[in-house]
Amino acid sequence: MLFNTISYLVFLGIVVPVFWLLSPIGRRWLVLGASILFYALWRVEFVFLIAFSALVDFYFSLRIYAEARPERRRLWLICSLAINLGLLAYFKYAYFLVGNAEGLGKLFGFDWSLNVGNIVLPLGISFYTFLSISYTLDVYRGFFTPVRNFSTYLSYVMFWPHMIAGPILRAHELIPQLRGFAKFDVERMTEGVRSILFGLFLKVALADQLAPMVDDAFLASPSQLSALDVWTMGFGFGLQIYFDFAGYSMIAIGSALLMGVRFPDNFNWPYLSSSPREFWKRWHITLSSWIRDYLYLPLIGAQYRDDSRGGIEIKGAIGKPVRATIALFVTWFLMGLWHGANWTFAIWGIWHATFIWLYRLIVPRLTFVPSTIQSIGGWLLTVAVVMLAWIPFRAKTVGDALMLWSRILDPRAYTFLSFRENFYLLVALMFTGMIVLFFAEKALLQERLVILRQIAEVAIVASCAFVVFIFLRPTGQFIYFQF
Amino acid sequence: MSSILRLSLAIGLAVIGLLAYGGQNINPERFGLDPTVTLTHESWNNVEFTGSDIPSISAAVTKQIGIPSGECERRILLWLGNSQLHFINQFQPGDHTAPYWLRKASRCSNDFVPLGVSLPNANLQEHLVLMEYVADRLPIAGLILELTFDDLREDGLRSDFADLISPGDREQLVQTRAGKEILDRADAEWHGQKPGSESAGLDGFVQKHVEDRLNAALSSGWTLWGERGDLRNTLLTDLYYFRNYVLGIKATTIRKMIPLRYQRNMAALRTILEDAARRKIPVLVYIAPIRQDRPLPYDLGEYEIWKREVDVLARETGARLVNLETLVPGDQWGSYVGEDIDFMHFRGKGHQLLADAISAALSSDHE
Repeated sequence: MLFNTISYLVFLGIVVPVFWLLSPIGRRWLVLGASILFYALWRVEFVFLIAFSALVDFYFSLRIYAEARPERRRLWLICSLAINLGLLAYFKYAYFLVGNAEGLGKLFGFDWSLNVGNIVLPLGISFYTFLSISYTLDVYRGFFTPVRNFSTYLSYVMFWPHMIAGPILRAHELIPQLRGFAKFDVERMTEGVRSILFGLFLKVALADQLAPMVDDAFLASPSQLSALDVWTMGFGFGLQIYFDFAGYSMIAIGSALLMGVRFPDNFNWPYLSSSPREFWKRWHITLSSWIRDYLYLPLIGAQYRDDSRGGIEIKGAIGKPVRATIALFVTWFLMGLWHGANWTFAIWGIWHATFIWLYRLIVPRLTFVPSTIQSIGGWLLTVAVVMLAWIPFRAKTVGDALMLWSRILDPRAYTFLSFRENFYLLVALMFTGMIVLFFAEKALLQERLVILRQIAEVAIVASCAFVVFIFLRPTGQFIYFQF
Repeated sequence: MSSILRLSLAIGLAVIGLLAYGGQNINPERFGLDPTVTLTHESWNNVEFTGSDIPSISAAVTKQIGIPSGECERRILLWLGNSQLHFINQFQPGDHTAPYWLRKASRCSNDFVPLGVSLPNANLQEHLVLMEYVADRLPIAGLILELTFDDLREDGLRSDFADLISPGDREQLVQTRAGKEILDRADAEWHGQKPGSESAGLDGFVQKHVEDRLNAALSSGWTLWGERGDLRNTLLTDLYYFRNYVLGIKATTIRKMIPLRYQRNMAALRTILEDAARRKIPVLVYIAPIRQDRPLPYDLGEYEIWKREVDVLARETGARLVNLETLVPGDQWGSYVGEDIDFMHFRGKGHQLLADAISAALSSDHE
């Protein structure tokens, strides 16, 4: 089911009141039933795939927990990981792997024609696979005692607000909340409604308005575009994906709050970061934290943590420089491929790894630079680096991405504009508006401005409701659905 | 103030705002037009022979099929243009558009039956598709093509073209590079879905059925919900005017050409002319009349270069080019207040002048 629909709002309007009328046991079953219905409204048959995947992890986790012998525990873990990653590899990477194998074959004179059939990518598979892996690994690491009730585990995996595109939650963050739901709290309910409204506003009023312009820009032949066009495309898509995904996360957080369940934040003004490291503590925080704990920190041999907050926080855990550098690039390469089965995503990952590496290398040597200059300069550089990274992320092919990047290095390509003026105007307005809003929010947090803050809140919520009412319609899906 | 009170107050304010804002009906086809500009469809013996949007174009083409010749030999002359062809400024009873006057002026047995096919701000990529569409359904004896510099700033196919293009048209279009590019870009934009659909994002979802039914039920039982399309148009129009106000953009503001769109449209023009030559369809290309009593809202250097390029292209492809930019005198255009001037739509008399000029050009060709 898509969030940006009237049917979802009706779904919430039915499920939430019934939820609060039921007993705790009834609520659990309602949440599970509603989650299954939510997923089935995409495609019924894939509910069984998730249920199968969940059953495998549920079973293996219990075996891991019950097993005392380390080698046996490891064996059960490997079985669980192999099944999870195998399903992900088949559904998400089969075409990519086959395409690359065929290409490689041609290189050596073999004409392989491998047919993998017609594969439909199950919605949310990347997200619930990570969720399942973290559960099994947490049990293996002794962080979490596995649940003994399959319906509880299935509710954890399928809980509809997070199932399709996160936030990616750890077992200990969600399962206790699903076992004993919080008491009815008006504050939480209003917070939830506000969050859903803001999320819908970001999606339907901002992301969906930018989408046609960005789509059109990326359809153009790169050789015909100017450097300013490429910058605008980077910023345009950067804003679109931010509004789209942050909007999705806010609706997810708000929906969970309506049932008294609290999710961690997934975004925290990422484009206001003054370093690549800070960016990854503010962007898709639950994924960054997952990557930190289940990939990066194990690769460098450091002590991992167990919560989905903080993003990639690796201070003091870098370890040996060579190993850390290799781990950094491997992590980001895989992080890129997690987003999509295309080398363009791998380039996106490597680009980020390169700048994080450069940041680690250079910044400690800049102690003589005043902190204000470091902050402003760091912000300018980070924004530029992050926005340019969106070029390969959105481009169709590696060739297109490299051609687009090459345009910005050509001084002659700064003399003309190729798109309609509204595109440049909208991107500039949205970016500036975001910065203004950040500082306005900070200013309004002062204690003495409580009345002004409340007036501003009423005005903003009213404006969002007004615009959402007018624009709410599923003209497009959320970008992260394709991952 | 408690959070629930603040939320209720905000929702209440939004509802009041929506009720106050609703009830305005803005037709996107008339966006930015003076209220005195009137859309005119022409018919002859109760058969319409002009169309100004995809449904009316499709209807006009269909109506020409299978009509008995009667007293006239039916030689269809396709006239492609923009809204200049279907709007009359300060309409008076008895006024008609240029295709009507051309039809009236035509004498039986040796002249043509014009078929006016026009879209507001039609770009040349759309003209290419429209030409293929008509040429595949009707025997075209000639093509008149209006060229407006301003329309080269437009790009791609509007969404309702998806309803128009048949598999046969596609086959025809992909044979040329420009046609293939136009279709590829349109398909990528439409994602294989019916564009403009309120629930295009749900294609492939079971949820789509639920969503469409809910929407239909809400629209029929709740006026404000049913008016959401109008509310969107109103809001976007207000934003457009607000942008113009803030940036000081007026009808007289010089608009620079957009290189990428210019190249795509000129490639489409070349394809139209080459394809017409291949089909042995004589072509009359004309630079559209534009208001001359005020400075043009074009970069004159760009405008001159474009006219020269069109001239070269016409010569290369054997098309006849006439420049009618000064044809309609200043008093035959719309009124204006300050700098809010309509440069594109003239009065009834202007349409007669245009028809006469086209007729004269055709006659000289004929001779």
